[in-house]
Amino acid sequence: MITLKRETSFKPNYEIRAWKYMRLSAILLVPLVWIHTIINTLIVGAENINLNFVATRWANIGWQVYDILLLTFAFSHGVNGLRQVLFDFTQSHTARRILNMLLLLFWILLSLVGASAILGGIEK
Amino acid sequence: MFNNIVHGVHGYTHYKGGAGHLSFVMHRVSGLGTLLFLSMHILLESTAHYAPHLYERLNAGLRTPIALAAEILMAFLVIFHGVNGYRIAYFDLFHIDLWSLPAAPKAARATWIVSLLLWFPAFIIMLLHGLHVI
Repeated sequence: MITLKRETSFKPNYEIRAWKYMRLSAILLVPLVWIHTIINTLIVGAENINLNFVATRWANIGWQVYDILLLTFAFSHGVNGLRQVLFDFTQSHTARRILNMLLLLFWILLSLVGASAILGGIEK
Repeated sequence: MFNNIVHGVHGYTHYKGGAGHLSFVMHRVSGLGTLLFLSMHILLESTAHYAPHLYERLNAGLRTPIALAAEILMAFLVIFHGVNGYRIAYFDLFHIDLWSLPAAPKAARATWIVSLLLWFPAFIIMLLHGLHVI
Protein backbone atom coordinates (compact mmCIF):
# COMPACT_ATOMS: atom_id res chain seq x y z
CA MET A 1 0.00 0.00 0.00
CA ILE A 2 1.21 3.44 -0.92
CA THR A 3 0.66 6.12 1.65
CA LEU A 4 0.61 9.65 0.40
CA LYS A 5 1.22 12.27 2.99
CA ARG A 6 1.58 15.82 1.88
CA GLU A 7 2.36 18.58 4.31
CA THR A 8 1.61 22.02 3.06
CA SER A 9 1.76 25.31 4.83
CA PHE A 10 -0.12 28.29 3.50
CA LYS A 11 -2.29 31.06 4.79
CA PRO A 12 -5.92 29.92 4.65
CA ASN A 13 -8.08 32.18 2.49
CA TYR A 14 -11.79 32.85 2.91
CA GLU A 15 -12.92 29.78 0.94
CA ILE A 16 -10.68 27.46 2.96
CA ARG A 17 -12.05 28.89 6.19
CA ALA A 18 -15.60 28.48 4.84
CA TRP A 19 -14.80 24.85 3.93
CA LYS A 20 -13.54 24.22 7.47
CA TYR A 21 -16.49 26.07 9.02
CA MET A 22 -18.94 23.71 7.28
CA ARG A 23 -17.27 20.71 8.95
CA LEU A 24 -16.81 22.25 12.37
CA SER A 25 -20.36 23.63 12.49
CA ALA A 26 -21.61 20.18 11.38
CA ILE A 27 -20.09 18.62 14.50
CA LEU A 28 -22.08 21.09 16.61
CA LEU A 29 -25.25 21.00 14.50
CA VAL A 30 -26.05 17.30 14.78
CA PRO A 31 -26.62 17.47 18.58
CA LEU A 32 -28.21 20.96 18.38
CA VAL A 33 -30.69 20.11 15.62
CA TRP A 34 -31.42 16.56 16.71
CA ILE A 35 -32.10 17.49 20.35
CA HIS A 36 -34.36 20.31 19.10
CA THR A 37 -36.36 17.98 16.84
CA ILE A 38 -36.40 15.03 19.24
CA ILE A 39 -37.92 17.26 21.96
CA ASN A 40 -40.37 19.21 19.79
CA THR A 41 -41.38 16.64 17.21
CA LEU A 42 -41.07 13.29 18.99
CA ILE A 43 -41.59 14.06 22.70
CA VAL A 44 -43.85 17.14 22.74
CA GLY A 45 -45.48 16.39 19.39
CA ALA A 46 -47.35 18.48 16.83
CA GLU A 47 -50.61 18.33 18.80
CA ASN A 48 -49.06 20.23 21.74
CA ILE A 49 -47.24 22.92 19.76
CA ASN A 50 -49.16 26.19 19.92
CA LEU A 51 -48.70 29.85 20.77
CA ASN A 52 -48.73 29.12 24.50
CA PHE A 53 -45.96 26.52 24.10
CA VAL A 54 -43.77 28.95 22.16
CA ALA A 55 -44.47 31.69 24.73
CA THR A 56 -43.32 29.42 27.59
CA ARG A 57 -40.17 28.48 25.65
CA TRP A 58 -39.19 32.04 24.82
CA ALA A 59 -39.80 33.19 28.40
CA ASN A 60 -36.85 30.99 29.42
CA ILE A 61 -33.35 32.40 28.97
CA GLY A 62 -31.85 28.92 28.51
CA TRP A 63 -34.15 28.08 25.57
CA GLN A 64 -33.62 31.55 24.12
CA VAL A 65 -29.85 30.97 24.13
CA TYR A 66 -30.39 27.48 22.66
CA ASP A 67 -32.62 28.80 19.86
CA ILE A 68 -30.23 31.66 19.07
CA LEU A 69 -27.33 29.17 18.79
CA LEU A 70 -29.45 26.95 16.56
CA LEU A 71 -30.46 29.87 14.35
CA THR A 72 -26.89 31.16 14.09
CA PHE A 73 -25.17 27.89 13.26
CA ALA A 74 -27.89 26.14 11.24
CA PHE A 75 -28.78 29.12 9.08
CA SER A 76 -25.17 30.19 8.39
CA HIS A 77 -24.26 26.57 7.54
CA GLY A 78 -27.29 26.40 5.24
CA VAL A 79 -26.75 29.69 3.42
CA ASN A 80 -23.06 28.92 2.92
CA GLY A 81 -24.05 25.49 1.59
CA LEU A 82 -26.41 27.14 -0.90
CA ARG A 83 -23.54 29.47 -1.86
CA GLN A 84 -21.29 26.48 -2.57
CA VAL A 85 -23.96 24.82 -4.73
CA LEU A 86 -24.67 28.05 -6.66
CA PHE A 87 -20.95 28.71 -7.18
CA ASP A 88 -20.65 25.32 -8.88
CA PHE A 89 -22.97 26.69 -11.56
CA THR A 90 -21.45 30.16 -11.76
CA GLN A 91 -18.08 30.95 -13.30
CA SER A 92 -18.05 34.70 -13.76
CA HIS A 93 -16.51 36.83 -11.05
CA THR A 94 -19.32 39.41 -11.30
CA ALA A 95 -22.09 36.83 -10.95
CA ARG A 96 -20.36 35.36 -7.90
CA ARG A 97 -20.06 38.79 -6.32
CA ILE A 98 -23.75 39.49 -6.90
CA LEU A 99 -24.66 36.08 -5.47
CA ASN A 100 -22.46 36.73 -2.44
CA MET A 101 -24.19 40.03 -1.76
CA LEU A 102 -27.70 38.64 -2.25
CA LEU A 103 -27.00 35.65 0.01
CA LEU A 104 -25.41 37.87 2.67
CA LEU A 105 -28.48 40.11 2.61
CA PHE A 106 -30.84 37.11 2.81
CA TRP A 107 -28.82 35.66 5.71
CA ILE A 108 -28.70 38.92 7.70
CA LEU A 109 -32.38 39.70 7.10
CA LEU A 110 -33.77 36.32 8.18
CA SER A 111 -31.33 36.08 11.09
CA LEU A 112 -32.50 39.45 12.39
CA VAL A 113 -36.17 38.52 11.99
CA GLY A 114 -35.63 35.21 13.84
CA ALA A 115 -33.34 36.52 16.57
CA SER A 116 -35.59 39.49 17.35
CA ALA A 117 -38.59 37.14 17.65
CA ILE A 118 -36.70 34.75 19.97
CA LEU A 119 -35.42 37.58 22.19
CA GLY A 120 -38.68 39.55 22.02
CA GLY A 121 -40.74 36.57 23.12
CA ILE A 122 -44.52 36.59 23.33
CA GLU A 123 -46.61 38.81 25.57
CA LYS A 124 -49.29 36.84 27.36
CA MET B 1 -25.91 30.22 -15.73
CA PHE B 2 -29.00 28.45 -17.11
CA ASN B 3 -26.86 26.28 -19.40
CA ASN B 4 -24.55 25.51 -16.49
CA ILE B 5 -27.51 24.29 -14.45
CA VAL B 6 -28.81 22.08 -17.28
CA HIS B 7 -25.37 20.53 -17.75
CA GLY B 8 -24.82 20.25 -14.02
CA VAL B 9 -28.09 18.47 -13.34
CA HIS B 10 -27.44 16.16 -16.31
CA GLY B 11 -24.11 15.34 -14.66
CA TYR B 12 -25.80 14.72 -11.32
CA THR B 13 -28.18 12.17 -12.85
CA HIS B 14 -25.86 10.55 -15.43
CA TYR B 15 -22.46 10.35 -13.75
CA LYS B 16 -21.73 6.72 -12.89
CA GLY B 17 -20.00 7.31 -9.58
CA GLY B 18 -21.81 4.68 -7.57
CA ALA B 19 -22.52 5.03 -3.85
CA GLY B 20 -20.22 8.02 -3.32
CA HIS B 21 -21.85 10.03 -6.11
CA LEU B 22 -25.33 9.15 -4.87
CA SER B 23 -24.31 10.46 -1.43
CA PHE B 24 -22.95 13.66 -2.99
CA VAL B 25 -26.22 14.32 -4.84
CA MET B 26 -28.31 13.34 -1.84
CA HIS B 27 -26.26 15.61 0.46
CA ARG B 28 -27.02 18.54 -1.84
CA VAL B 29 -30.71 17.69 -2.26
CA SER B 30 -31.20 17.16 1.50
CA GLY B 31 -29.20 20.31 2.31
CA LEU B 32 -31.19 22.49 -0.07
CA GLY B 33 -34.45 20.96 1.16
CA THR B 34 -33.45 21.56 4.76
CA LEU B 35 -32.50 25.19 4.01
CA LEU B 36 -35.86 25.76 2.31
CA PHE B 37 -37.63 24.26 5.33
CA LEU B 38 -35.45 26.23 7.76
CA SER B 39 -36.14 29.54 5.99
CA MET B 40 -39.90 28.95 6.18
CA HIS B 41 -39.55 27.68 9.77
CA ILE B 42 -37.75 30.90 10.84
CA LEU B 43 -40.45 33.07 9.22
CA LEU B 44 -43.33 30.97 10.60
CA GLU B 45 -42.00 30.87 14.17
CA SER B 46 -41.23 34.60 14.00
CA THR B 47 -44.92 35.35 13.47
CA ALA B 48 -45.45 34.04 17.03
CA HIS B 49 -43.75 37.26 18.17
CA TYR B 50 -44.75 39.68 15.41
CA ALA B 51 -48.32 38.53 14.65
CA PRO B 52 -49.59 35.96 17.19
CA HIS B 53 -53.00 35.59 15.52
CA LEU B 54 -51.37 34.84 12.19
CA TYR B 55 -49.15 32.25 13.95
CA GLU B 56 -52.17 30.39 15.29
CA ARG B 57 -53.88 30.45 11.90
CA LEU B 58 -50.77 29.22 10.05
CA ASN B 59 -50.11 26.58 12.71
CA ALA B 60 -53.67 25.25 12.43
CA GLY B 61 -53.54 25.48 8.62
CA LEU B 62 -50.43 23.29 8.48
CA ARG B 63 -52.08 20.32 10.19
CA THR B 64 -52.93 18.41 7.03
CA PRO B 65 -51.93 14.95 5.81
CA ILE B 66 -49.72 16.53 3.12
CA ALA B 67 -47.87 18.67 5.69
CA LEU B 68 -47.42 15.62 7.93
CA ALA B 69 -46.02 13.56 5.03
CA ALA B 70 -43.69 16.46 4.15
CA GLU B 71 -42.49 16.67 7.76
CA ILE B 72 -41.80 12.94 7.93
CA LEU B 73 -39.84 13.15 4.66
CA MET B 74 -38.05 16.22 6.03
CA ALA B 75 -37.02 14.16 9.06
CA PHE B 76 -35.27 11.68 6.75
CA LEU B 77 -33.50 14.47 4.86
CA VAL B 78 -32.23 16.00 8.13
CA ILE B 79 -31.12 12.63 9.54
CA PHE B 80 -29.35 11.70 6.30
CA HIS B 81 -27.68 15.12 6.03
CA GLY B 82 -26.44 14.81 9.61
CA VAL B 83 -25.14 11.23 9.36
CA ASN B 84 -23.55 11.84 5.96
CA GLY B 85 -22.19 15.18 7.18
CA TYR B 86 -20.49 13.43 10.09
CA ARG B 87 -18.95 10.96 7.66
CA ILE B 88 -17.61 13.82 5.52
CA ALA B 89 -16.34 15.82 8.53
CA TYR B 90 -14.69 12.75 10.08
CA PHE B 91 -12.96 11.74 6.83
CA ASP B 92 -11.87 15.29 5.95
CA LEU B 93 -10.67 16.34 9.39
CA PHE B 94 -9.31 13.13 10.91
CA HIS B 95 -8.98 10.34 8.33
CA ILE B 96 -8.29 11.72 4.87
CA ASP B 97 -6.97 8.30 3.80
CA LEU B 98 -10.48 6.85 4.05
CA TRP B 99 -11.48 8.75 0.88
CA SER B 100 -10.32 5.78 -1.15
CA LEU B 101 -11.38 2.34 -2.33
CA PRO B 102 -12.81 0.24 -0.84
CA ALA B 103 -13.50 2.25 2.35
CA ALA B 104 -15.29 5.24 0.80
CA PRO B 105 -18.22 3.51 -0.99
CA LYS B 106 -18.58 1.10 1.95
CA ALA B 107 -18.97 4.05 4.32
CA ALA B 108 -21.39 5.72 1.90
CA ARG B 109 -23.61 2.63 1.95
CA ALA B 110 -23.37 2.41 5.75
CA THR B 111 -24.61 6.02 5.92
CA TRP B 112 -27.86 4.98 4.23
CA ILE B 113 -28.36 2.06 6.61
CA VAL B 114 -27.69 4.17 9.73
CA SER B 115 -29.98 6.95 8.44
CA LEU B 116 -32.83 4.55 7.69
CA LEU B 117 -32.46 2.86 11.09
CA LEU B 118 -32.63 6.24 12.84
CA TRP B 119 -35.51 7.41 10.66
CA PHE B 120 -37.75 4.39 11.18
CA PRO B 121 -38.64 5.09 14.87
CA ALA B 122 -39.01 8.81 14.09
CA PHE B 123 -41.40 7.91 11.26
CA ILE B 124 -43.61 5.85 13.61
CA ILE B 125 -43.62 8.42 16.44
CA MET B 126 -44.32 11.34 14.07
CA LEU B 127 -47.18 9.38 12.51
CA LEU B 128 -48.69 8.65 15.94
CA HIS B 129 -48.44 12.33 16.96
CA GLY B 130 -49.72 13.40 13.56
CA LEU B 131 -52.83 11.27 13.82
CA HIS B 132 -53.90 13.41 16.81
CA VAL B 133 -54.01 16.57 14.77
CA ILE B 134 -55.07 15.71 11.21
